Amino acid sequence: MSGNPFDSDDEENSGSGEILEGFLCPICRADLKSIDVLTDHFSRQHAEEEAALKSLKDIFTKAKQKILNNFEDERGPAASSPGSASASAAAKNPNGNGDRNGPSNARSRMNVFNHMGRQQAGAECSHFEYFQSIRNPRLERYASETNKLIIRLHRLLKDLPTDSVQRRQHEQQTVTWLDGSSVKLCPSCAKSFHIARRQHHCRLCGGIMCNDCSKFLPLENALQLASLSTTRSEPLQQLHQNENAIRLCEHCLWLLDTRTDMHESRTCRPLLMQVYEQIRQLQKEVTPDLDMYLKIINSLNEGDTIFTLADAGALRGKIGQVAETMDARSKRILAIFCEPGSREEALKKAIRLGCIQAIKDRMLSLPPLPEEAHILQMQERRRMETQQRILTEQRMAMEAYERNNLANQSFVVVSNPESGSFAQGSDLQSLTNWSAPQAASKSTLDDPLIEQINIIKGYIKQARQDMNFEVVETLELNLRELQREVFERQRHSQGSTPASPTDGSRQNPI
Amino acid sequence: MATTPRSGGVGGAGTATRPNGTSQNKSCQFKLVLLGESAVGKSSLVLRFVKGQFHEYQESTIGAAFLTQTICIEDTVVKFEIWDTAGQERYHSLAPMYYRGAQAAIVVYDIQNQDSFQRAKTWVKELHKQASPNIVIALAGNKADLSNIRVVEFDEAKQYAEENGLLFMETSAKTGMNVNDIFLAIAKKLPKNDGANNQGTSIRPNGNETNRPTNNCCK
Repeated sequence: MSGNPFDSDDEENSGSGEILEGFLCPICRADLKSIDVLTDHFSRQHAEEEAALKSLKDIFTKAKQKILNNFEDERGPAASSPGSASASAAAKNPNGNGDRNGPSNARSRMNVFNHMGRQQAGAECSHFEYFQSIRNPRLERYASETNKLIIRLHRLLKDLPTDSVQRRQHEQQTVTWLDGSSVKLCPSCAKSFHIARRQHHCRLCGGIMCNDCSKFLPLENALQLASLSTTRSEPLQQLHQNENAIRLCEHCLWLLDTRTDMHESRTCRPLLMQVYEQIRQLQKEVTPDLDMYLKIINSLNEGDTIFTLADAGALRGKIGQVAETMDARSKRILAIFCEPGSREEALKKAIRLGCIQAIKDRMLSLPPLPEEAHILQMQERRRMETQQRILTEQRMAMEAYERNNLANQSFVVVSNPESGSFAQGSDLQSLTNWSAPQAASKSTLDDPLIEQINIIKGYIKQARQDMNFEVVETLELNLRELQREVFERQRHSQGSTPASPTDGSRQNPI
Repeated sequence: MATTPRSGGVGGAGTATRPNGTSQNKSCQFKLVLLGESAVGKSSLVLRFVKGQFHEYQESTIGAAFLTQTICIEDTVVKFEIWDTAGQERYHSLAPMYYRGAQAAIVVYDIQNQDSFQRAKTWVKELHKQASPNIVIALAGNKADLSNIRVVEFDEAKQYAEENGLLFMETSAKTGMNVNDIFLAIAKKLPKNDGANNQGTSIRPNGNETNRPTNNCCK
């Protein structure tokens, strides 16, 4: 350097004389005493400044755009206003003469002010990509640093000697320790090292610190972090007594802790979530039951005999239990501690309300069980109706038969109602008593059909106990079909007894 | 014992250049930031440059330090506003605040410490990504007086610097070697024309004004 480019010790250097140090704000140079205060101050104070300036700029550009747009737009509407021939001419001919543009200009300017009142929101701009571009490298940096630590930890722990001297050697081999000869102060607390305050090394980064600034990672945790099995290393277990931790600097421990936290937050589910999932599960399970209950009640009210009153009662009891459990669960959620006024609290209240609502709407609004007498009455009526119908049909058939056919056939027909009603009665009886037709079961015990009927009855009983009413329904229908079949066969085997072919198809009161 | 006498480069004959008169000269000011791993000698470099001093037991910087130094190149008065950041990892989150809007940066490493060189590389990468696009970056291999026990070879660093368009020098804050030169080289590389506008106005608004277009936030 020719000459001396540095001028010092003059008025220019009044600033350079003093050295500011500390948590200085890069804009206003105030010392803010701590990292948090500084970052907070910087992001709040100065970001706002910039934001204010930016929004001011935006307003101007927007206003400018608006005016320009209106200038273009207003030429159209202006043309429609009565009496402004020159304006309409200008609208048709935007490149018209200057004198023609004059009035429309004035008008548009007026309209600009009218439009000021209802200004629309400006353009939207997504900052997500920018956010990502900032965030990803940071995450990457932490991830790579953490990974480095984990790899070192792994190597460190892989075959850690039990002997303290060997261990020390092994540690220094894995991670080179910083040369402490020139380090006179602890880098994190700035206290000087001497005989009482000795230098210690972080086992992962090799950095130097004093004993007070050292952090310790228990070996068990370390092994877990390095994903080495804790049981494998027998010698380490013995070692636990005297030296059962790894000395780390604050930063390395922080990185490892952050990793563990992140891992936990990914895998663990809070109590609230677990309980809520239980509630959802209950709700899901109870839905078919609710439908089934309605179906049973309907069929009972219609006098059907597939289901019994006891079925409905049992199902209702089950639904009531589920409702109670749901209520208890939602109360439990409400009882989980959280900060008052937080979003979590609002969420809990919402869950509770939702539960109450669901219980009220779906479960408590179920129709009550019908009275037994009413059901019997209904069944009786239905039976009567069926019989009535059969009788009338038979009578009609008989009349038609009589009208058309021979006299000797009428004998058969006359005896028919008797046998028909008998068959009907036995069939119905067998259904209500849940037992196979007496005659059939006694006469043909080894009949495969009867056997099948018995099996199905067993199934039905089981299904009733399990409250699986859908299965009960199908089985019942099945059973009926079988019983009809048996009845049919019985009649054929009794062959000699006169029977009308119309009977078999009518006996089933489903 | 902590201080050594001023080096010849700074101070001394300062009055010789004064007669030209600052009023005729262009003047401009630049924000310069020092980055690098802890204990590589950032504060020592600045102290040597600004005050010509060297402390054997320089204490670890807390947060950041702010210093200014004015130099003359040809007919231009260049005022450096130097932000000397703390190298310790826990202060890393503060760095973007300081290199934001900086026109120049010196990334320092210790020639005896390979890790610090790697860290310097990541600093350079970060600056390329996040700082002003036209920032002038200089790479300084400090503690060159301990050249006999070096770990980072001169050629290796030189090659890296050339590949990445950095100024490069090996410096020694202890002996004063290349300290002023690296700042001078930066000053020469910085564009002076826009700085001319700064003349006569107060510091802060100008600083803001020059920073603004280079901020990469929310444009």
